[in-house]
Amino acid sequence: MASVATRNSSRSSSGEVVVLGIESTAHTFGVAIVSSEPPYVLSDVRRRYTPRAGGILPREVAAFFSSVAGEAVGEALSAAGVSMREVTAVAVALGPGMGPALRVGATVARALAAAYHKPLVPVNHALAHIEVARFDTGLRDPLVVYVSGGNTMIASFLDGRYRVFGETLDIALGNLLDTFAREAGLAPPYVVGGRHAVDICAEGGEYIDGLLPYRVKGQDVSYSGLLTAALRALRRLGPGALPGICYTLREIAFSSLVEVAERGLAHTGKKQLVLAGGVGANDLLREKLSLMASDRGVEYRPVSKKYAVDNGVMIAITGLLAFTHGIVVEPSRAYIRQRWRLDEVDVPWYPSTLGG
Amino acid sequence: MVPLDPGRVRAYLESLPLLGKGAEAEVRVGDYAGVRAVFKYRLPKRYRHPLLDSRLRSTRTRREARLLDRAYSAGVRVPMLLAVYPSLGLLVVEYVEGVLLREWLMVQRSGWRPLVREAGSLLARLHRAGIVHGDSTTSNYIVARDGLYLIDFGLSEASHSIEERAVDVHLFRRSLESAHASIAERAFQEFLGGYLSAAGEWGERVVRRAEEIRLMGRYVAARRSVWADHGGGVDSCEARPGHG
Ligand SMILES: Nc1ncnc2c1ncn2[C@@H]1O[C@H](COP(=O)(O)OP(=O)(O)O)[C@@H](O)[C@H]1O
Ligand SMILES: [Mg+2]
Repeated sequence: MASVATRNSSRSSSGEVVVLGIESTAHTFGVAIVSSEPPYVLSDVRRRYTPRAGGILPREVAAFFSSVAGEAVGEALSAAGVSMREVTAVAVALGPGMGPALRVGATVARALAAAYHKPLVPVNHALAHIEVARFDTGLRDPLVVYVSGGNTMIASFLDGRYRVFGETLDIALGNLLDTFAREAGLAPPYVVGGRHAVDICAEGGEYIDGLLPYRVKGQDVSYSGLLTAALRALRRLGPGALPGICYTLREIAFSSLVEVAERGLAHTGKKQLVLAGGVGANDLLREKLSLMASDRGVEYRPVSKKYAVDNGVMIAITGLLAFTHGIVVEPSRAYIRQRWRLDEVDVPWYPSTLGG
Repeated sequence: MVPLDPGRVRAYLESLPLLGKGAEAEVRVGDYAGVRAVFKYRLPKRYRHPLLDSRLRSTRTRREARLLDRAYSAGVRVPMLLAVYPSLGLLVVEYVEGVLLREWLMVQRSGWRPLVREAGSLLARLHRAGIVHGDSTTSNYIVARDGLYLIDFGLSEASHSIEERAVDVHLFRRSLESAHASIAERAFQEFLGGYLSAAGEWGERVVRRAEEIRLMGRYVAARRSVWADHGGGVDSCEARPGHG
């Protein structure tokens, strides 16, 4: 990494833009510093809330975030070798997400912006997942498969915004896996090193055809019937059947997602495919999408695992792009939006990204 | 004629000109017993388990044939079924000369109102016949000289359910929003007009339910759950080298 002094001089001469980004929509409080000049990502600090038993309690998360926010900001600045004075703008994820968690990030961002007289940039969390994936993979005009604990969508850019071409009609993919794991009595944490408890339990099993329903509706998937059927199968067949059920559940959930992604490609005619979001760290899903893309002659790259999960870098990158296109918000009007839809956000910088 | 030997059918199909490649099928044009016909071949997918894949391909092919036939008999405007080979994943139907509604909407600046309205009444007539389409996007309507045709019944079901009908309406709306953003809202209102005019008293309930489904899908973001990557609660990544 270049020394602080070198970067300082280049910053003043070349109009370098430096953005501090804050992520706090769900389980991760992330703070990152990103620059418009290489090496772009100057620091990436994450504090993750780990629930004691399965479900995530918004108020506990908020308390945890409040307790780590100050040191996370300090650490991000010092790791980047940047002072608040050298930061051009502060970006924050204002939604979608859990209210109490979002409020912590918004409060910290507002305070920083006010105290140091910095512009505040509102960032949509779903958009940020997509933008960090475009930055990270180098694919500029892809169809995006965005899968996380709370989101399952197939999106791509058209007429100034990302449009949703397919999505879950009920629960999200991550939610399906987590809920099954919890109800089946698998112990948390459900994801270790990118492998889900359902992946691990599937290891000794094999695919049982006809056991669980495969539901694709047009460009959409539906997972709630799959979840119910898997839990019912477990009650009926007993714990000995768990590996086979996990294997089958995963096979059906991922295959139907890949199918709707393929439908999205057929519908949009896009020639590139990107996998983004936390569940995007899953190896089997990455592999299935890769098979589909190569059979279709489409260029495919999954976001690197590091940027698949929630992080501050994605907020800072998106914030930097937005800021340089004039998108800022008055701190007093920076309301959180728990249900902020991806297709409500303008993306005037598309298809360019950080560094070109 | 189509050879019945599965080993040879692929070679035969490949001798026919390719009309298009949809999401799951290769569609070719040929001659079937003197009729200009479309050969729809569902390709095996390597990303699916072979058992799942062959079951899906054959059930969808069988279902498409059955429901196409039923819709045709009920007087809904769909291509006529000519032949079906479920174990091969092959369906042969009458060729409909025209352009996809999707393409039509992309190039035409005017005159879309009556067409989209007709799409609505066509879907309502299908629903009336006890069939839900399952993939009612603008890619699955053909604009022919004598009006609109509905195609692609691979995800269809025999059903009178309000919920399933509402999903059809929702899918049409989303396909307008995602591919024809500038006219989407007006076009959807026109579509609803056509739908309600041909639907029974259940039409209003379908439309209301479609609105609810739309909100549900988009707003699952409010129900985020835990998807933590590492076991530990704290980790920090150092700056990393840049990339282009
Ligand atoms: N009966 C038909 N007449 C003319 N063209 C057709 C017919 N059926 C299908 N096609 C063409 O083939 C394409 C794919 O067919 P479709 O049945 O929609 O398959 P998929 O399930 O792969 O989308 C259509 O978009 C259309 O261009
Ligand atoms: Mg089709």
